[in-house]
Amino acid sequence: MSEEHIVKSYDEELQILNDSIVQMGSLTEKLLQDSMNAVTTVDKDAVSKIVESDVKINKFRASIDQQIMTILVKRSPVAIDLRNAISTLKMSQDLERIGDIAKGNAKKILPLPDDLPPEMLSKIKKLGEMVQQQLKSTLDAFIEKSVPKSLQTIENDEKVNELATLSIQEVLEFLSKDKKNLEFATNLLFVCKNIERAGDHISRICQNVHYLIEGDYPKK
Amino acid sequence: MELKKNRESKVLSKNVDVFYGNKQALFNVNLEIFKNEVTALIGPSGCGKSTFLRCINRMNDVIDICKISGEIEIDGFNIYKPDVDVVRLREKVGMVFQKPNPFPKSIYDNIAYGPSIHGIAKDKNEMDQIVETSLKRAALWEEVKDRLDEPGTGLSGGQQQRLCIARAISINPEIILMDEPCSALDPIATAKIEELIDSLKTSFTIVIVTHSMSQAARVSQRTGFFHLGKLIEMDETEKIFKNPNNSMTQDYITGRFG
Repeated sequence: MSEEHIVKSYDEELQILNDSIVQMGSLTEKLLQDSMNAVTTVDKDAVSKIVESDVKINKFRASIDQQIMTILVKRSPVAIDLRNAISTLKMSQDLERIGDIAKGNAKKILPLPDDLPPEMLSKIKKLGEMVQQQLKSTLDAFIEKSVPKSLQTIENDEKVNELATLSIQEVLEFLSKDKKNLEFATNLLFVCKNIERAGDHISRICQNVHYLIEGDYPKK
Repeated sequence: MELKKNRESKVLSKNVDVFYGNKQALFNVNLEIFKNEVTALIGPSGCGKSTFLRCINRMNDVIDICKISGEIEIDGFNIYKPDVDVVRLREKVGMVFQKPNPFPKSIYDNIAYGPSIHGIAKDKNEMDQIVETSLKRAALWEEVKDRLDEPGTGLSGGQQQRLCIARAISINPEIILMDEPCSALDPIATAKIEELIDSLKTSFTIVIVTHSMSQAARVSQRTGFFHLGKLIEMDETEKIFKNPNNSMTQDYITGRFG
């Protein structure tokens, strides 16, 4: 396929949309990282900054929606351009949800005691790192328009799910030792479940990257 | 995407080459057109789509330097056999052109002309019936029923084009060829013609050449893309506009070359 449209401004609009998704993805990646750092070090001071960053991500989503709406109205996109519009619309939605999850997780640490035993958080930390890596690979797959990368990331989601189950078990074990941990340990259970859901959103982004490139969704 | 089942083949083109003198206009075109569907032919100017359209009712015969090889079958019968009666063929395969071209006669006579030369109507009553039915099917009856004696050329562009469609269907053809039927019309008149095309496909097989990709997407079930005299790709319209197989098709429909 030739790279350029006959109408140059159409190319510019698509380029701006592409850049917006990449920027929104980078912000979400950073937010996820900050949120996981805050959770694993029980850094309650970081929470307000994380909430602010999430607002920025929401604004990105609104701006991307507008851009796509304009492209649909002005250009009546077809084929690769249509798939680009549809898939980026869905991707921005998933990125926004990941941002919400990161914010929600950070808020969950507020009731936790400052002297939380580190062994309780070891698997959650690994889980967070794994999901961050997944998001990074997803953005690479989008930037490089790489089908193998998107497929690999979708496959890796199974590992995320397994580790999420182990993390939940770890929290439950801790909980069973002393019932007075109940109050805050349930928050950590939510954190595990939420990270696992962020993984699902990442997987969905990859499915849309696949759709953008190939015109169909990967077969399970 | 749901593929239509039980399709019935109406037109089959086999290895069709067309030459205008020494210049080859079509190269080995093989395609199939299904009954009661709208098939759109798209492609840049000079790609051969109109030439192909005109092969289906042998309109190219009137051009002396035009030579055609290969076969075009309608209902399994090769229309290029030497003993084919071209007048009978064109009774079966009607045509609507880019620019509305009503005869310089009354609205009534525009419709009645075809049925009378083909001897379709037995008497005046039957002819009145044909005129009314044709105008109704072309969604023009309500607008002209009180002024059938007025000249067809006095109608608006969109009405004239619907008059031409009414004229084409008055002799009950099986196939209607349309060569850019909306290119001279405003958006409202275009919408009326497109609505009409959609309703006519239940009775006729329609082949439309159009420069408007969005029109092809709106009105047709199948689309063929021509380039430099070759049929590059033909598929379900939905497939062509969502995910074409050929990168040239993609470049053309997305406005990357043309």
